[in-house]
Amino acid sequence: MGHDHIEQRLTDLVTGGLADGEKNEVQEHLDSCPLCRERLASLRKTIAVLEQSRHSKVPEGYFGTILPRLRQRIDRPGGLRSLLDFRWPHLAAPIGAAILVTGLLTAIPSANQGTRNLAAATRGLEAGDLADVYFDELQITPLATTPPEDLAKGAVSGLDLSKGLLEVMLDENVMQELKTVDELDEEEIEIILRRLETRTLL
Amino acid sequence: MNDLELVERFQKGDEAAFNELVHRYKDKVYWTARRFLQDHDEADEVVQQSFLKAYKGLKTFRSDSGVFTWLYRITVNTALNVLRKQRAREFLGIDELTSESGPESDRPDEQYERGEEQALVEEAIRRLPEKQRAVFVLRFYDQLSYEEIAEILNTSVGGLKANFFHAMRKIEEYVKSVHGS
Repeated sequence: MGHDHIEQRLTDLVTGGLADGEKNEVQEHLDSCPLCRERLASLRKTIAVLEQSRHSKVPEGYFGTILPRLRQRIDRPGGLRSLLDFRWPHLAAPIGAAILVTGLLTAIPSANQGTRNLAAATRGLEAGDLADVYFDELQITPLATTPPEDLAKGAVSGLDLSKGLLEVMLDENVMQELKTVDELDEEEIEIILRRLETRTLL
Repeated sequence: MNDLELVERFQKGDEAAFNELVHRYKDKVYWTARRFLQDHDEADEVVQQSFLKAYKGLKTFRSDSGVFTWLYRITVNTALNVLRKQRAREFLGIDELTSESGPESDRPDEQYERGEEQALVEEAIRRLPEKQRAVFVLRFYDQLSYEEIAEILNTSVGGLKANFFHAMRKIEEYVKSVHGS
């Protein structure tokens, strides 16, 4: 058994991920290989450091607060319990999408951020998360960088905001990462609108 | 009463059954999120979001996988979304404008309080790519088997072993680079 093959097994050996048969096989190699014994010793030191990190501090009484706060979010008027029984009107979808897209458009960085790739930054985000990023920015950035209110209103009323229009306005690579009216499904719209409930943009 | 019985009771309208599931898994969900994100406040929000998603999903939950595995998957995905949002915020420059306190690792006084070793580990984990971070947390801290992790992350055992190995190696290299060999 060579070093390359054994090295992965050493990691499993020190973390208890090897079956008895495999342990014997690794042990046989270790008996005759000082290099691998050295690797094992080094790995054990790292494990010892890692073990100390198992005991992070948690605020006193924290775990007792989880359920009451959760129930509050579920049971409050307009909370999850009532939302589960609610059907959004048909028009909610394009409105929600327009708000989201407007947010993304206005949040796109200016030239001073150079060639950094927005597509990479947003890859894998869900629709609701994109909305959150945008609205968080609205709440915390200086007014000078906040998109004008009339721009947002204009986009909301512009229900004909189409993918074609967006493609003209946005770089093609960025466009691939964004969701438009056509691409957002009902659940994503629901997420966005639920989050919008507490916002003041409209 | 086992988890599936609790789910059945919840699906029939028994809210207390959901509370019991939260009671059973709140610690595990928190610690997975905490070790993933290395920040209490963010972990707390992941706990809340994960259980809210579970509340919604349990209405139509089918027992293809265990409740425990399913909840882990929700937690990991929610934590991953937080990480991705952080990336987006960093890209938009939001954190630079607002984060007076910032993540725990940026606060020297807290690093001191938490101890050098712990701060070192947290930073090493924070530097891992997200997939390796997920595998490392589930394998090392939660001590799940590769088979369980494969079910949670919907990937192959072989790939997970490689991810865990590379994660350990990166952590080891980082610790050595700070400590010296």
